[in-house]
Amino acid sequence: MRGQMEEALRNSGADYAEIRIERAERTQIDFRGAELDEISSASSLGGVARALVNGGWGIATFNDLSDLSAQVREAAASARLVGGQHSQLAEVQPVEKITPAPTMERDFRGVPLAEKQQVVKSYNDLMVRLHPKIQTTHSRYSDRHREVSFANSQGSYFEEVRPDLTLTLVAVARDGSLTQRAHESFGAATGFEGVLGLEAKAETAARRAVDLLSAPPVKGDTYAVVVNPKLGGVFAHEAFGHLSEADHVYENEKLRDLMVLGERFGPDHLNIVDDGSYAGGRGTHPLDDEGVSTRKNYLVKDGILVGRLHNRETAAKMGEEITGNARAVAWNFPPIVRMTNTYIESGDASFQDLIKDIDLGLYACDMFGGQTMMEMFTFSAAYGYMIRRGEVAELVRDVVLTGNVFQTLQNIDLIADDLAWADGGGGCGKGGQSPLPVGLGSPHLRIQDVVVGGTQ
Amino acid sequence: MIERALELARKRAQGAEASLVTSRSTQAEYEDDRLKHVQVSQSTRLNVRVIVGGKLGNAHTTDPEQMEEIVDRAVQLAEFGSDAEFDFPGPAEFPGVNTYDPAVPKISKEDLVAAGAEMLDLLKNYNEEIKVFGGASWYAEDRRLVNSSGLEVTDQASFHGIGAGGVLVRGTDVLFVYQSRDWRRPILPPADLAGKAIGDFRLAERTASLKSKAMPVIFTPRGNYLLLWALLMGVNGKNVLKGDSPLAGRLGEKLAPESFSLVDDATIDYAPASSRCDGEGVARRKTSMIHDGRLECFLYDLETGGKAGVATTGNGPGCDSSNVIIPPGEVSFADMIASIPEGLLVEHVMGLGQGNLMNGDFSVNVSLGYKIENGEIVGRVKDAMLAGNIYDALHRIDAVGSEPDWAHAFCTPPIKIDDLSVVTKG
Repeated sequence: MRGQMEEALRNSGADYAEIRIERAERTQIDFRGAELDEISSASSLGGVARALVNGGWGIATFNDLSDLSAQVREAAASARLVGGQHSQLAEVQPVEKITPAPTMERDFRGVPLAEKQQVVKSYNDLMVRLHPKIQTTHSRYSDRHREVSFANSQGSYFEEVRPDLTLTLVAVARDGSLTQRAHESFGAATGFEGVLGLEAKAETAARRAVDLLSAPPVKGDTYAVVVNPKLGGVFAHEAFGHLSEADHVYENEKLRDLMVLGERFGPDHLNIVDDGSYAGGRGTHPLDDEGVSTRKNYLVKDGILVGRLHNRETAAKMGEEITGNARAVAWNFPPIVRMTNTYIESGDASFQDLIKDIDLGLYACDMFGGQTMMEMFTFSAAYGYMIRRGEVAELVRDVVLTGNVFQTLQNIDLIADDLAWADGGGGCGKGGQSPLPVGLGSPHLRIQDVVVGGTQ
Repeated sequence: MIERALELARKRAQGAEASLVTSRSTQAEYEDDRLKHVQVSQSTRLNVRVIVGGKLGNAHTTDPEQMEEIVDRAVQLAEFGSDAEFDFPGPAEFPGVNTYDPAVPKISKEDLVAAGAEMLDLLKNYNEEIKVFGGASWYAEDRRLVNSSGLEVTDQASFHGIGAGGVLVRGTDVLFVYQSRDWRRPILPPADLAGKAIGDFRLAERTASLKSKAMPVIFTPRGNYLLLWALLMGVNGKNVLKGDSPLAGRLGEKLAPESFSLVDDATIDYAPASSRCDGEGVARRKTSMIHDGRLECFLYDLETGGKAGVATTGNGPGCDSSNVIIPPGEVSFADMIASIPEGLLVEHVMGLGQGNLMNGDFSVNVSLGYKIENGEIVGRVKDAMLAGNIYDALHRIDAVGSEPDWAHAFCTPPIKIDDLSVVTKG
C-alpha cells in the first residue's frame, strides 16, 4: 500500500497533500439491567486524502482504495475552490517510522467472544446483585484496534498501531421517585488484561449509587472546594484545555484577546501540561496524524500562559512552535487540533494540608457531565463530601460547580503532591469527531470561592 | 457480492439477511466567516444478520473483501445474541414513495460553495459582527438488501441539506442562531434560509427580562424538539418491552387533550426519513401513535415486535421513528401569541439529555427564547431555564397551531402549553 500512497501523492498539483489509511476492528458488548442488550462487531478499511492549495483545504474520504491518485486529485480540486491566500504549514523534518505495536499481554482480537462477554457479565451481575435498591445497570465493554498508515507529499511515511480498550460501569439506584446514578470506568491502550480484576470498580459504582439515595443535596453556596484528581483532570481538559486549542484561538478574536502568551493565569505553583509522548497514556502516540512527533508541551508554567496546542497550519499562521496535536478519530475524518494527555503537575502539599484549614467546604469528586461556553463552565461532580472543621464529613449529591475558568485557576491556592491519572473510559468530542481517547490527570487541588449550585 | 454473502450465511444459519449500502456525498462547510473546506466522500457498508439456533447475530464492514470474515463473525455473535422470535420477511408490496431525485447528485461543488457564500454575505450584510457558519451538502445512496425468505430490494435515496447560522457575542452574552433544512430533493433557495436566520437575529435584537414563575409557553416547530425527544423514547417499542418507558402498559390511556395527535409517517414523498421499506425490508407505513390525545400504538421492528407478540410497524431495525408528524390544529400562531398576557416563546434549548429524559424529566437552558407580553413578542430572554416533565406537560397542551413546519424529520405546528416552570436569573 505504501507504494500506491506515495505514487498517488507524487503529482497532486497541490501545495501539500497527504493520505491516511486505517484498518480497524471493533467489538462492543452492552448489558442493560441483568440482560445482554447488544453485542456487535465491525471492521473497517478506509482512508482520507487531504490537499492544501493556496491556503484552502480539500478533503476526500473513501472505502474504495483502488485508485488513490483519483482521491488525491479530487481533494486537490476541492481545495482549489477554497483557497484564496498562500498556503502556510510549519516546517517539519520528514519522518519515516514504523512504530511497533504497544505491548498487549493478550491481544483482545484473539480473545473469544464468550470470554469477553463473561467478563462484562461478571461485573454487571455484581452491580445488579449488590443491593435491592439497584434499579438498573449499564455495562459497556469496547475494544478497538486501529492500524494507521500515513504518507505525505513531503516524504513522510509512518505506520502506527493504536489499540484502545474501555469498560464503563453505570449503576442506577432508586428509592421512590428518587433515582441516583454512579459510574466507574476503565480505558487504556492495552490488551485484554486491562479489563480483568476490576470487581472493585463495579462494587464502588453500585455502592455509591445506593449511598447517594440517602445523601442530602449539597446546600448551594460559595465554598472552598477540594477537587479529586479525576475532577481536576477533567477540569484541566474541558475548562482550560479546549481554550488552548490554536484552531479556536486563531479564528476567534475574543479568545485571542483572552489567551495572551506571557500573561499570568494562576498562582506560581500551577503547571498545566499536554503531553502526547507520555509513556502509557491513553492519548499517547509517537506521531500525530500529520506525522509530527508528539512532545511535552507546557500550557501554563509557574502560573504563566506559555503555550497552546497546534497543528502545522495554526503553528505557522501564529508563528509559534509546532506541538504535535493534529489528531483524527477514525479513517473518515481529517486531523484537527486535539489534546493528548492533559494534566496538572503535582505540587508539594499533602491532602491533609488541603482540608485541614477548611471550616466548612466541599470535597468534589469525579465528573458526571457539564458544559462550557468560552470561559464559563458548569460541571456536575459525580458525588461529593462536605468538609467540616478540617475533616471530610458526610456524602452529598447534586454537586454542580459553576464559574469562570480564569478566575477559578487564579483561586487554586494549594496543590497536593499526588498526581493521579484518571483511568476512565470516556473520550473527547470535537467537530463531530468522538470519542477520541485522551489522558487526564491531576493532583488534589484546593480552590477558594467556588460557586456551588444546589438547594438554597 | 451480496448474493454471495447471503449464500455463505444461509449455509450456516436458519435465516440470513445481507445488505450493501454505497454512498457518495459532497459538502462545503463554512466556519468563522469563511469556507473551511470542501469534502467529497464515498462509502461502502456491508451488513450481515443471521439467525442461528433461534438467536440473532449481526456484523458489518466497510471492506467487501472481508465478506467471509463478516459472515463468520455474525454467526459467532449469534451465540450470544438475543432470541429471534421472527423470520426475515418475504417479498411484499411497498408503498410508492419518492426518495430519490437525480438532480441532487448533479449539484456541483461550485454550487454548494456558492450557496454557502450567498448565505454568508446576507448574514454579514445584516450585521458584520456575526461570526457566520453553515454550508451546503448533498448525499446519495444505493441500497440492496436480500434475505433468505426471497426478498430482494434495490433502492435509491438522495438528500440535500443547507444550514445558515451565526454567533453574536456581546460582553458575556452569547447569541447562537442556526437554521437548517434537509430534504430528499433540491430545496429552498439559500437566500430564504439566510433570511430565516436573519429574522431570528432581528427578533433577538431587543432583550426582555422575565421573572421566574410558571407561565404559558409556546414551542415553535423547532422548539418542539424538547417535547418530542422524550416522547419518542417513550413510544420506542424496545424501551416499552424492557419496561424502561413510562408508557409501557398504558395503550389506550389519555396522554393529552383531543387536539393533540402524533403520527409516524415514512411515506411522505421526499421527506427526510421517508423510504419504501425499512432497514429490514419491511414495507413502510403511516402509524398513528397518539390519536386525539389517546396512546394508540408503539413503534416496532422485527426483533422487538417478535418478542412483544405484535407486528413490526416498519421501524426497524431499532424501533426508531421516521418522519414524525403532529397534525395541525386550528389556532393561528398570531392568535396563540395574542392570547398570552405573559409567557415564553421557545425556539431552541440546550442541555437536553442531562436529566432523566426517559422519565420525561427535563431541565434545560433556553438558548433562544422570547418574552411574550400583552399578546406581543417583546424581546429575547437571556439565561432562562425550563424545567418540568414532558408527560405532565402533554396534559396541559392548551392549543395546537395551524401552521406546521419541518425541522429535520419532524413536521409540527406551534404548541402552546399552560403552566410550565420558567426559572430566570435575577
